[in-house]
Amino acid sequence: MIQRLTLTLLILMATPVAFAMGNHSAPKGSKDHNRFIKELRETYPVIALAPAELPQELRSQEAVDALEAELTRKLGFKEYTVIPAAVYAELWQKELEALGGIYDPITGQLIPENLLVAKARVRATMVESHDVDAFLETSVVERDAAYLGTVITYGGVKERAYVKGPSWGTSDVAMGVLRALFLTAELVTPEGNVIYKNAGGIQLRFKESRDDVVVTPVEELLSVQEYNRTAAHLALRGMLYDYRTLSRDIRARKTENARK
Amino acid sequence: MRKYTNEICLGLLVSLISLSSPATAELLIPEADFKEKVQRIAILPSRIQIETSDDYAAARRIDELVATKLEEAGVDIIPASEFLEVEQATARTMGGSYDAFTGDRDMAKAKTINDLAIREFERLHEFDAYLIASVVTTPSSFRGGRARWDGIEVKTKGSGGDLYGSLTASSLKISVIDKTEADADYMVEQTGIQLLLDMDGGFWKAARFVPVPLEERLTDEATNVRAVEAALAPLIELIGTPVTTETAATGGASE
Repeated sequence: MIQRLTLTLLILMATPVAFAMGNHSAPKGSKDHNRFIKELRETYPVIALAPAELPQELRSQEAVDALEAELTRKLGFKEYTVIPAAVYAELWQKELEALGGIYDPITGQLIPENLLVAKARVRATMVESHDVDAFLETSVVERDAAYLGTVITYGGVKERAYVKGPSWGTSDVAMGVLRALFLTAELVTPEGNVIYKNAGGIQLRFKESRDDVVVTPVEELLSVQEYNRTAAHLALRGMLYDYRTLSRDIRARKTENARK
Repeated sequence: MRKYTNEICLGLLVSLISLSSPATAELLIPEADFKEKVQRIAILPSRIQIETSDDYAAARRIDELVATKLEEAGVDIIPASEFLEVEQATARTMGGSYDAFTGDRDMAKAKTINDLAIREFERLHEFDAYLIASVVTTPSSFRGGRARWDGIEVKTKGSGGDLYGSLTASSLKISVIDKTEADADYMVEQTGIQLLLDMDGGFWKAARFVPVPLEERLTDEATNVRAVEAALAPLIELIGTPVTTETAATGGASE
């Protein structure tokens, strides 16, 4: 048994697996990162929230409000002035009505030119009326999340990939892919340039269980406030914390986010 | 070493099973019945159940390839464009099933439009069965730098070192269904298209999952053609017309 564990550990150390989702776009080095954080705060002190976009089957005003409250709290804590999403939503609705929508009602296809016009007009109006410097656009998306062994890491969250098992296989290193919900956050200038982009893991849509999968019921998705809060923290931390705090935070969150 | 003998044997067995697993073709009624019942096929618009950069364009590409391949093989078909025309005309009269503001689909309205379109389509055309092409997500088994699923095997970007398990892939599912009973399948065939999640790295470079960009999904013509040809092969074998001399001189050269 000890030999097997040693073998597993050796292989795990030799083949660490990374996954693209969740890496924030802030500079990596400590000096560059700290400069980035400082410049963000000085150049874009007024941030307007855009209403969080949720998949159709998960859409609920309660979830949207909870996410917005958390994002506002986090930004406010770092002394950003936050313009509520309701302001954006009202202007957005007016633009959609003026343009007749941004989707083709027959095919469901997005009409990119209408989307660009609507966004540009809403941003221009908000810059004029509320002195907005940047817009925080967030959405809940479902993406692949890969696991190695029995633990899955997605968007900064660490969790067991298995409800039961794994019992199959010929060596001790199994890997695979599950689906998870992420909160993505993009900080965008009024001209539409993305200046920060990151994603925080919310929760798994299903887990492995020996030769089967256990699906998380739809009503349980986005319903755990602690998960939503953590996701908001993970999505925004790269634009809020200096390098030292971030380094400490990563260590702290890794332990804190470990779920059973 | 003896301690691991059983596990190694089991591993070899699992590997052999996965290596020899063919595409999942299934004829659900006797061959003679199929040939008698299915003379003319109406192709329904393809369903893209994976994420791509443009689902609509991807579906139309698959529609075209399926129609071209079946026509070349001498199968009597009604292309998906005919149904699409009827469905869109029906949708237009009902104001569409998508919300112009959010892109959400009103499923009840979509079903009504589909039912009406099918009724109108069946009134306009004579045919025996429907064919539906769907691009679906499927797991692929991964080991030693190779991924295998639904009859195909592809090299991954990296070997992945000693890792094994599953990656996410896409497959083309072709269903030939009874015209009158929507649930009665005549034939189902599924062939691998491409990976959706690749593996990079290995022993000397950290192993890493790499999602295939949305812009690279269902956009490679050669990959799509190969998948469509493989998925339609059993159907063509059953009801296609034998290749003429002229076709054999051109199209048959690659065989």
